[in-house]
Amino acid sequence: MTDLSPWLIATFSSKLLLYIAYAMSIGGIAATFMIQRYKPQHLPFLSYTQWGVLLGLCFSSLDFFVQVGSFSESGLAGMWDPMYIDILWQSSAGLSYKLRLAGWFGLLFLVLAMRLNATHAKPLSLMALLVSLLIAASFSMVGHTAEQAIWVRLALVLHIFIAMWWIGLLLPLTHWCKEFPANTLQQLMHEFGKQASILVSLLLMAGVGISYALEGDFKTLFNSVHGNTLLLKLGVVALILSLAALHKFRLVPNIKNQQSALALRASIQIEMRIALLILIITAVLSTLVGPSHL
Amino acid sequence: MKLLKTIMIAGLLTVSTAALAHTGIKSTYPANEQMLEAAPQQLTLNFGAPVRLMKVILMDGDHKDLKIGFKPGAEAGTSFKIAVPEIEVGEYMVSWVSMGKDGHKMSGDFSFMVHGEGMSHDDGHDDDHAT
Repeated sequence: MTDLSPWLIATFSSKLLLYIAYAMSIGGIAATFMIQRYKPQHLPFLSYTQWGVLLGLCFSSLDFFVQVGSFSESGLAGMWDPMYIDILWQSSAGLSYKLRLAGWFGLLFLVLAMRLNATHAKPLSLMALLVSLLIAASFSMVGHTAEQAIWVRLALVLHIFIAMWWIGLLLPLTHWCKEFPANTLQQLMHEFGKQASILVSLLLMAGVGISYALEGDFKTLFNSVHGNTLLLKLGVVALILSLAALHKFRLVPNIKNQQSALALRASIQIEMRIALLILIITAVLSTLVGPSHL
Repeated sequence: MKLLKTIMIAGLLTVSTAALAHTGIKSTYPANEQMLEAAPQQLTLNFGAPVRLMKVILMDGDHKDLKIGFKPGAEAGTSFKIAVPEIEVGEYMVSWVSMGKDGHKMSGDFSFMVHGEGMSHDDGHDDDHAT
């Protein structure tokens, strides 16, 4: 386990906040895209998306300058050291930051375009989903997959994108439980369930592929802090998958009235909390506990 | 089906986290805890894979930083030589910070002792490491 320096805690926090902002952005855009069939030219959760994008810009920058500070090792002022900014800008951390900036500014532009002209909400939101892949790609430039084969890095991009799509859509889903009548809601939830079952299968396959490429040894799950944290994540992911299955096979087919819609809503709210826990554990895994080298 | 699901979940969880050995330092000159007859003219740090050397500090026995000609550069490399000013007999400690290609921060330190007169000595290639 690495020492808990203030820089490490700052890295952990900026990474976690970046995950949340990314989930909000993709979730909001995906919700806009999905709702077009039911409410054309309707822009739900525009402020949710916008906040996600703005926070994403802030936290990506924070993440970069925290790294500058951590390398320059000269206190808080070290975050603005031009020499270290220059070096990091040219490194993989800089490349990752450039991709993020391109992604966030692209999203900001598209969200503003949607606001100005809601008639093109569908193509614009589809374009925004594609642009947000840039941000997912930024995660494959740094960290453990950075030097892996291209397919491993692509799998990581896919993995992050789908995970954030899922998590970010949960809040819009809870709102729809209150907004739509039972039959429309059921149709919407059914559509989400269909998309999710394909995407989550891809998410899991990507996960299996990456872990096969990276590790291949499951012994470390039991005899290292990192492995144990990973097992904790495994448990929580099993929990969220069970809950998602409960929604798809029990609660959604049972939507008949407002009461059953609210029951689904309450359950999705629990799912959101579990999702947050997964993001926290993921941020811990990628910053606070280093992988063991057994 | 349930087993398959469990296996898939296990895979999912190892994603962003699985181990990949981070590039540590391979050897240094002077080596850790090496006793030198004469003061070294330069420090050498050898890494197992290309890294960017971000910081090198040379401290004397009183933990006072000494001025050395180190400037971090954007170029990655495996071997770095840093000129050392004239130093006297005594204990010294070097601490370094490097960045791997994946952006990972690594740091470490090593110490050495000069107990002869401050004559120059060519750089050697002892292998010992300290992290």
